[in-house]
This record gives sequence, structure tokens and C-alpha cells, in this order.
Amino acid sequence: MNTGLTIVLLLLLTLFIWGGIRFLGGRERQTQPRRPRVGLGQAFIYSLMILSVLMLALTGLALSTLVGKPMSGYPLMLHVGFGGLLIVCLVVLLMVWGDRCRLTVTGPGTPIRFRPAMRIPFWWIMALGLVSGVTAVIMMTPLPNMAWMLRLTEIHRVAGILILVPVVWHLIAFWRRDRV
Amino acid sequence: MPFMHGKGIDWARAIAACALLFVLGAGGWCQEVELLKTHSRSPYVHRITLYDAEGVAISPEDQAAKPYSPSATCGKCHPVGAVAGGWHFNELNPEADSGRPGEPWILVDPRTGTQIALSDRHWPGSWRPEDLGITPWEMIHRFGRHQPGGSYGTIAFGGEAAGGGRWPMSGPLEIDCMACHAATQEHDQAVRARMIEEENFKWIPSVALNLGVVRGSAKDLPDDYDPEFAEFAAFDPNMASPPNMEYDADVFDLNERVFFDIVRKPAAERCYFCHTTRPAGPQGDFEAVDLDAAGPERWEHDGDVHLAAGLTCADCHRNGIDHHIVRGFEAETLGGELRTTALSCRECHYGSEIADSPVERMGGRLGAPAADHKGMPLIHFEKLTCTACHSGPMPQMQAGRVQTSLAHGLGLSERGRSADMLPLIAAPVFMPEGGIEGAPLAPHKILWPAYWGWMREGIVEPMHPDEALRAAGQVLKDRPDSHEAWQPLDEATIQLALEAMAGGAEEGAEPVYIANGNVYHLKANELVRSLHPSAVPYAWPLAHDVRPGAQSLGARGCTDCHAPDTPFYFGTVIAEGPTTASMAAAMPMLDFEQVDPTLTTLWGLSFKWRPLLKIVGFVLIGVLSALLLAYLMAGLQRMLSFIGERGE
Repeated sequence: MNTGLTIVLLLLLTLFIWGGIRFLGGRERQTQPRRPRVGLGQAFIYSLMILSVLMLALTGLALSTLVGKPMSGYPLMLHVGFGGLLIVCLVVLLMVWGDRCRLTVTGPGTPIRFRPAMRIPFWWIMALGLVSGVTAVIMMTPLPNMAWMLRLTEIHRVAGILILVPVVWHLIAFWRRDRV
Repeated sequence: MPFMHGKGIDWARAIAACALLFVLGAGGWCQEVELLKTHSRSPYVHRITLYDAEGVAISPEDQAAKPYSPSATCGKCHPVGAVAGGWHFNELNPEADSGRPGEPWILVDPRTGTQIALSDRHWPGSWRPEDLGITPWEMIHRFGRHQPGGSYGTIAFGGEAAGGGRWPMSGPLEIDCMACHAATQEHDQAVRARMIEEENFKWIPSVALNLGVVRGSAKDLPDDYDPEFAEFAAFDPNMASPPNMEYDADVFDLNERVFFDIVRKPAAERCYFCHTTRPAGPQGDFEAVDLDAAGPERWEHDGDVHLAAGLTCADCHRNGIDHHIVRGFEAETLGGELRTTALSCRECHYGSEIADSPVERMGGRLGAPAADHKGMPLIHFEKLTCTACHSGPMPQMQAGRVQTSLAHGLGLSERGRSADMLPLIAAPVFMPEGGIEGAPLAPHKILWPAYWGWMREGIVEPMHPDEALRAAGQVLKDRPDSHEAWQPLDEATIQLALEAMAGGAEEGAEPVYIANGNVYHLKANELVRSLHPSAVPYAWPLAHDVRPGAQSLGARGCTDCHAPDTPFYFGTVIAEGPTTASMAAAMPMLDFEQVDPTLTTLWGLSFKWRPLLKIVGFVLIGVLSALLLAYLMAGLQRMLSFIGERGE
């Protein structure tokens, strides 16, 4: 199931990337001479998001998935706490940066966009963050039975692992955002 | 002289018996003879001839007929040697797999304030009877009332040193097949206790099955009595007479055969004679209780949900002819090999990967429903056994008391069986299954050991209660020796007894009293107490009665356990014993569970905010979804426009 799910997600992401690259035509580069500024507040939220992902990776990936033991105790509490923080950060970032990360070409009246290297992973992060969040929240309801709990856990785990790729990508792009 | 029945020697019988004994003695009889089998699900009608221990067929007309021997009678068709290696009979076999700790024999002596777990299985925390100088003879006298025979009852006849006793007069306490396999209550298991008091061991199977009555008592025979000369008692009025078996002729048919109403799978009522657990004291819900108050009435109990559904004990606790009875826990071994038949809770309900049978791998055995456990995080199935939520009394803020057949003689009629009768067993106590660190939490029954002992270089060796009585002089002798009216030991009495014992102590030996999870000893003429490994409670997992899903822990929600004031985590267990109540401390359940108190408290507190967390989580996910959907729609719109522009 893991493999199948991973393949499906990778295919979707590939299409997403392919689509994104395609929409970013050469004309955009010419029409977008400067990059948007990132304020202190936004940087803070972004830092919180990175911290959340780091903590989630540490508690979820390192302590649970790699060690193979079910998550419990303090790691689980940290995981739940930082999971909530991540969703808050994602919502705020989507509100603040959503328009600046649109993959379509810019036109008159559109806000200044980030570089494509930041925009593409941004939407990955949002999509995978949504999958992680939805599965986590559903698992907290009395709806899924044991079999669905298992499936949701697997989806949550795969999404959680996959989100690391765009986060790292985005972080590098964010770090280098002012370079030409 | 078993073949002299007043009419001279019955040579034909004697020769037949000698031939049988020769064959039996040659060994391998049970294994080599191909046994009669019907291979049908319909039970074989057992209209059979009875044989005595010498293999002589029993006639009700014979005034000197011996008691029937189950091994000689049933052994005609069944491999009794193999049966004797089964779970109920192999306690003394050092090769036998002890498995998960189970209910021990509990030596109780109200006068000395003793309650100590005994077992010849290798269960941590229990003492071997011989460590206290307890012989098989004494074991039978104390616990034979709830033993189906064999083991301690026959060891003296198997060439093993049995350490004294009046075995020649009593005869062996053979495995009584009918104790379990009787189809009706015609077989009276309670007869055993009375007959053991009379030392009429070998007559027990006959009398319990109501085949007749036994006249006389082996207890009255002198110590120097020689059973070889029993036949002469009829001629010598001064000679002690052995008990005499008087058969009921109406039980026998015209062919001198007896109908044995036998079932292969015993009814639950047969099992319950030895395996009843009774809540002693109120079993309220989540309330602190008065442990000494009377327990609920029998009619108030629903019993085990499996029995209510029509199953019997033996539907799950099965066995083959080797009588290695499935105890039902996971990773269990049978006869030294891993059990591959799906018979634990999880295996029956959900299937087992290790089962040999493909249908057993699918679960749903005997119609066992695979519960959905909706919304239950999977971590619970790693951290808890099924029994943690489903079995035993509902946990209260203070673990309750239970009484059991083996410990309290349930099944035998008694008037003064009160809630505070010794031994005091607490349940449910949640701790790693079988006491193994890291194992999932399971409900247990626990016994706080209480006994007198000698401490040498920090190691405590328990005393037999009789030795404690002698060593303590008059201090303990004056105490009541009654199960009904026992008096708790107070610190002053313990100090006086220890002082008396110290006077006669050997070099390097210090008298101590273990109780309440502590060791009591003298230091500069003062009574002091401290923790000691010998004082930790003996614990064994409980699995029954199983409550239905609607009455399980968690049925009312997460806060059944995850709140700052739940019995599961924040309950207490009184370290009580045969001492005054003020000496018994309340131990936190968290200590038994070996979990972090801070974490558990934090986790419990967090569930106060969990509903809010869920609401916020849903709102945030909703907002995130809506925003993403809006951007997706905008992107699609832009894409369609782009395609349209290109088309133009």
C-alpha cells in the first residue's frame, strides 16, 4: 500500500511540477523585474513552519518511522503540538504568500511574484500539509475503524515524509531568494 | 493381599493383574497400543467396567472391592501417561513450560499473619513449597481440595522422594478424569475436601462420582499400619481397619458395568469449581470504596460475555489428548512449541498470521466479531492488552478485592466467608503483562506477600508458619487461628515476635517480617521498615470476566482513562495484608504501570482541551482547504483562458 500510495503521490506531484513549469513561460521573466520583499512577521511565521517541520520530522520520522516503534509519550505530544502549529503557519503563509506564489503568468495588476523555485515547492508544501492535516484530524474523530486508522496513518506518514522534499527545496530557494 | 476376598485367593484375577502390571511395567504401553477411537463428533457412550488400582475388575457384589482407579479404568482406552503431562498435572515436572505467571497456591495462616505465593512452576515472586519445608503431603492437605489429582497427589508413588506423609494409608490422589469430564453434577467436586481431611485419597474418585460410600477413615489408622495386612483386619478385632468401599449396586448394570456420563469438552460449571473469581467488597464505579464491606450478590453479576453468548471455557481453552491446555495469551508455547492455533483474544477476533489454518488467519472464529474500535488510535493496541479495557472488575479509584477458588476455597460451603478473609488479593492492578518490562499493560490480580523469615546477607528466606510460631514463642500462639475471625497484626506484636525470634536466631540470621511491601526488622531495639525485593507483590494477569464492548474502558470516550482523575492511571492500590490498616500504604497505580507520572498528568490534562483542539484543527483545515480550492479554481480559470487565447 505504501508503494502504491507513494507512486500516486509522486505522479501527481510530477504533473503539478510539469504544469507549473509550463505555465511559467519565458515572458514572465521579462515582465517581472523585481522580487517581493519578505517582512519580519512573514519571516517569523516561515521560521515557525520550518521549526514545526523539523520537529515533526524528528518525532515522526526519526523516532517513529525509522526506529519502528509506535509514537507515544513526549514525542507524540510534541508531534501533535507542532502538527497544529504547522497547520496554523500554512494557513497564514497561504493567506500572505498565496497570490505571490501563483504559477500562472503575471499580468497588469497582479502582485509581484516570488521566483519559480519558491513558488513550485510552496504549493507542494500546501498540498502535502493539507493531506497530513486532514488525516491527522480525521484520526481524532470517532469515524475511522481500525482498518481506516491504518490507512490514514500510512497516508499521514507518506505525506509527512514527502513534504520534507519541497520544504528543503523551498528553504534553499528562500535563502537564495535575492540572488539572481 | 488384594486377591484374598475371604473365599481364598482368586488366582485368575491375580494372574491377570500380574500380567497387566508386567505390561505396564515394561513401559510404553500408552504409546504403543493403538487406542480405540470413534472419529465421530458424537460422544462415545461410556458403559464400562471399573478397575481398581491393581487392574482387577470391580464387582458390586464383592464386599472387599477396592475403590475404582481412574488410571486403570480410563487407561484401558486413553493414554493416561500422556494426560499426566498436561497443564493441570505437570507442576512438578521441571521440564514443563511454566509460561506466563498464573495463579499460585497461597499459603495462608491467620495466626502468624502469613499469606505467601507458592508454586513449583518458575514464576517470579513465588516460592517453591520445599523452600518452606512444605511436603507434597502438606500441599495436598492444604490445596488438594482444588486439584484434579496427580502432581503432588501421586509423586510419592512415582519413585520420587515425597518427604514424608501417610501415603501408604491414604493411597494416591490420582488424576480424577471425571472432575472435569463429567457431563452432569453427579460428580461432586466438593467431596474431595472432606475426603482429604479423612486422608481417604484413593477413594475420592469413587465417592465423588457417587458410585458408593466409603466406611472408615485412613486418618484413624496408626502410623505403623501396613496396608499389606489389611485383609487380616476382618479376623482381628484389635487390628485397625482400613476404610472400606461399599458400592451402590444400582449404579452397575447386569454386566457389572457403569454408565459414565462423559463429555469431551467440559461445561463451564466444571471449570468454575476451581476457577471462580468473586468480587469481595463493593465494585462501584470510580469511587473510593470500603474494602471490608460486603460484595455484590451473585445474581447481580452478568458473568463473562463469552459464556453469555453461548461459548464455554473449553471453546477457547482447548487441549489435545496431551492436555496441554491453551491458556490463551499471545506467543504461548504448548509442549515446548509456539502455539499455532488462533485462540488468544486478538487471534480469535482478528485472525492470526502464525496460524496453521487459513481460516484461522482470517479471524472471526466461532463467530467472534471483529470490533471496529472506531476512532481508537492504534497506539492503544501496542500499549494495552485486550483485557486491559475488557476484562475484570471495572477499575475504581482504589483497586478492589477479589476472592478465588484456589485461594479462598470457593466451591466449598462455608458460613464465615467475609470480604476481609485472607488472603487479600487486589484487582484490577494495571501493570506490564506478566511483569515483563515494556510489555503491554494488562490487568492483574496481586498479592502482597506477608510472612516471617530469616534475613541473611540481605536475602530473605521465608519460614513455615509452624516454624514462625515456634520461634516467636507465646507472642503468636495466643492469636486466633481462624479464617473467619483473624486479627490483624500490629506493630507492637510484630516487634515482640521479632524480639522473641532474635533470641533464638542463628549466627548471621536476622528475623524479619515481610508485609505491606516492606520488610520489618529490629534496629537498636526499634521496629523499622524498609523496601525489599522480597516484599514486592506477586502478580498474575487476569482475563475474565470479559465485559461487553459497551462496558469496556473507553466506551464513554478517551476520558475514561485520559483525565487527571481516572482510576486507570491515578487510582491506588492498598498494600494490605494481615496487618492493621494503618500499616498499609496506598501505592499509586502509576508505579505499577511504570509510566512517567508527569507525562501522564500532562496527557490527562491535555484531554480537557482536546475538544477545542479538534474544533480549531477542523477550522484550520477547512480554511486551508478553502483557500487551496480557491487558488486551484483561479489557476484552472487562468489555464482555460490561456488555452482559449491560444486557440484564437
